[in-house]
Amino acid sequence: MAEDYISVITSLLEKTNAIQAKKFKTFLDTCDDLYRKRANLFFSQYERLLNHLGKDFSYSVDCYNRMNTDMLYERIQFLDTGKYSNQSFEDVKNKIYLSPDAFEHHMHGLAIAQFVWWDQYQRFSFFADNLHKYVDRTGRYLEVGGGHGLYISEALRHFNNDTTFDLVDISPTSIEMSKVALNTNRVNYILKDIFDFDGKEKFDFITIGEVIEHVEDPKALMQKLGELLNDNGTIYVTTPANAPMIDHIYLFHDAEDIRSFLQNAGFKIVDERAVFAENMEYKKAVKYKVPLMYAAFIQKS
Amino acid sequence: MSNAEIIADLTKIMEKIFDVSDLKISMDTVATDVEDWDSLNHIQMVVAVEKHFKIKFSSTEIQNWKNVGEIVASIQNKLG
Repeated sequence: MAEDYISVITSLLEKTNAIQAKKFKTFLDTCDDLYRKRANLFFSQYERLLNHLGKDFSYSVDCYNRMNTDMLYERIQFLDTGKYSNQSFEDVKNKIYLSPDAFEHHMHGLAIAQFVWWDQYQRFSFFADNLHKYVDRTGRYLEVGGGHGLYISEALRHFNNDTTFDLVDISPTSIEMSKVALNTNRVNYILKDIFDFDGKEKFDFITIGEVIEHVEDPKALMQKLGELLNDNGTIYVTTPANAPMIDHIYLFHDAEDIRSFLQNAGFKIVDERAVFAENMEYKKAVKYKVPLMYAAFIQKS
Repeated sequence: MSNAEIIADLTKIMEKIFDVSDLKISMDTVATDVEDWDSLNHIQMVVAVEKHFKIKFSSTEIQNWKNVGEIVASIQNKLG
């Protein structure tokens, strides 16, 4: 087992993608020991999934490179048209979700991005650094779309032993991925559409990261979560603006657009973090429509 | 267009995007040789190249570029 996954990934990127290697090394120069500890913890968990699949990090980095190329291509079109290339769930379902190869590559690419992209780490560290505030009031935790299990793992470490953990996902592939990566019986894995949840079920903390941009009607989704949330409960929601990807449908234009959306869906923002994907001055980022990562702890208004 | 003419146009595009002057590139130049050739500038460069030469690259072409020479080859291929 590799002990320093960061070095492994850096070395693989240097061999395969000079531009991404350069970007990652610039990011690493700003990182502290806590980043390295968190990254190595996640990648050791993720390696369990790779081993299960008979693959290694060279496969993941290959997926990451492929994802970056897809993104580059989507971005070029976005700068030209001002729209995401997919306008409906049906589009994405046919191109990605019903194509096991495309879906698997994308998911493994995203696993690497969690700690290689500066904005993705900001999204995670904002969650991890603030979770302690919710420990005393969380009896039931729900995560919508768990992916590689990074966020629910952190919640498992923070919350009390008597907290229940539910992870719901509409994709069997994604549920299986979470199960293998997490390797714990403390989580109830639920293969279901969140809209099929009984509104009588109430949760104290709901995490929904990078999901709402994948649906046609994110307001209906957030309102459903509002139904499932206890009156004093909290949701951790993240979504990007100006971030064309092969599976993104709903386009937010900036942080204010996302704030208004959340308020219109019936929530107040308790705390938020918004960062551009590239570390650069604000004016230039706006001019080039650089993707923006937005994350917030929200409660019912 | 000859390769030299395409490289001359590419140089002007890169100088504008990277905000530098007197950029020296050749067919063998790679991203690590140019300080400002980062992921954001790479996107802006591809957009500018497409606009300048009135061409569209496929994602496979973009993925396969290893150096300036391969970008030039893609442009030549599109220009026919």
